Amino acid sequence: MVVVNWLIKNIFTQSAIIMGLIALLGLTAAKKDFNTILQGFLKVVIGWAVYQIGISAFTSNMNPLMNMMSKAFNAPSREIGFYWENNFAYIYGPVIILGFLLHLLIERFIVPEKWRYVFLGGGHFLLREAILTTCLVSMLWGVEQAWLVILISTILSAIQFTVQPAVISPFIRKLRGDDLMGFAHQSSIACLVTSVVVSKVGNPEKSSEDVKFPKAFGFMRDFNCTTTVIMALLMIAMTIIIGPAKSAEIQGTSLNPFIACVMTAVNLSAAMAVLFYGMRMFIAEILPAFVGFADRIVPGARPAMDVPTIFGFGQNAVLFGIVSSTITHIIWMLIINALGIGLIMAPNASLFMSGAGCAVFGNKFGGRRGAIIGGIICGTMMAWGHVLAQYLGGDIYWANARIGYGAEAEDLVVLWPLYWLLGKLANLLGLGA
Amino acid sequence: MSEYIWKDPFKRPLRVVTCCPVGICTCILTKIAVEKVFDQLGITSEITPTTEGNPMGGVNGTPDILITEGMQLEALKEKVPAPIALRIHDLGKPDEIKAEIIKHLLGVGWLEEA
Repeated sequence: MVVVNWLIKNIFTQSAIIMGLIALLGLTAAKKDFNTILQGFLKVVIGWAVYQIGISAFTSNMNPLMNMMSKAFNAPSREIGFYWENNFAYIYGPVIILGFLLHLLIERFIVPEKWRYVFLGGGHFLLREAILTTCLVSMLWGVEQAWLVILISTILSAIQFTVQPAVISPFIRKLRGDDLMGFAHQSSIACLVTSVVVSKVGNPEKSSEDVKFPKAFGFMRDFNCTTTVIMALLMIAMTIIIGPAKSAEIQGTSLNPFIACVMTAVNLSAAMAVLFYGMRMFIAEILPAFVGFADRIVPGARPAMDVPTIFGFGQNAVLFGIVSSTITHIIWMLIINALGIGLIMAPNASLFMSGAGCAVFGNKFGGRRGAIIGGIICGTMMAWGHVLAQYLGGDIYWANARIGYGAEAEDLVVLWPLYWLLGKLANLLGLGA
Repeated sequence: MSEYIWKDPFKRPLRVVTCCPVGICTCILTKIAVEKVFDQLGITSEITPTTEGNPMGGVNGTPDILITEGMQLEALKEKVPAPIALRIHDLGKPDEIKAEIIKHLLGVGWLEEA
């Protein structure tokens, strides 16, 4: 018992080691040589540490903006954090493996071939899905036993991985013109709604791909540049509303507050670059092992892949989507915050990827009008999805930025309310609080 | 027996970077896809997934091959002085990926038909 307690206290509370152990397990199962396994383990541990540094820098630069927003809209002060992610890897770590393996078994033995896809959303999905389910099952449902949280979350994750690509499959087949690959991204509900809506109101004859964009717009395709520009503009706008003196006080700076806004935006973008660098380090080691599992358990199954894999089907549409989803979200943000309905912030990474994805579907089924509408639908669903998640989750939303601020449309308008309802049902059955 | 002969021009693993817009998703899937091709061809490779915004980030030395699944190939060519730069059009078509890589390797003379 002393040994177990020592292990729990010193090893299993360390997120980096848990993630390293997942890589160790995956690489060992993939029969890699000792050198590769050791290197993989260390790169994951180091990658996770880099990721944590990025998270720390991200929150320290994001929270002044949140405080300025609160002040500008006379809302309660809110700060974002990564509570669950930083403290409960021993719960969500096992779900990363078990949820994916159960998904593969469901695909192998239950799902008919027509609907059979292996969910390979890019690796990031493994982490976000595991955190989302375990956090909500534990904190929203009130389930206290770790093993039960792991069990329930494994089942929920596996179902999500199985159902999502199947639901969007009729549209991805039409988009691609074949059935070689599925679509696995948390924007899929917005893409689905876009496809249905623009089929009625769009005009596929006028494609976004016929538009010639000025080269000056090219920077919009660079994620770091768009983050810096949008955040700087938002902070400057908030500074104008609350006044330069208050802005300087909140930012804790002696610089000119407008210059400080720009520098905070630059630092925020840098923090995200560090965060993604760390994430890339550990995902690059873990994901190949998971692909190896998929090849063995469901041989020949079609992969369902991440949103950038469809960008090639509408390169201009991508730009239409990034711009229209971001503008839409910012308009909703101002309305929602001003009316005191919620306190939302532009989630750049999500709008960048999801807005682009929706616009590619929009262009396919409704031309350039469809691409713009796709971005609008994405921005709208995400803005109101955040309001919904804040309402359902309260402090849980704020304390866990990965499933709050960083959530995508699918998380916000499907999983949050669905898991909330399931939690109510579970409570009736005597599970949880 | 392989249809191709790898000339091993650098006497070291081939340095490859795979890029995608944010650098945490498709670049890794692209890495997995192209790694299979290099393995089939008997080429030892060192593949680094990276972001289009910083394609040289985390790479040791100048890459020999730049591969992107995204749309910024021309812009990336200006940033990365790799002898081969190519775009993967569709990750769902491994045969096309293999053919595209072989075409480029033959083009620079690093690979020869047996």
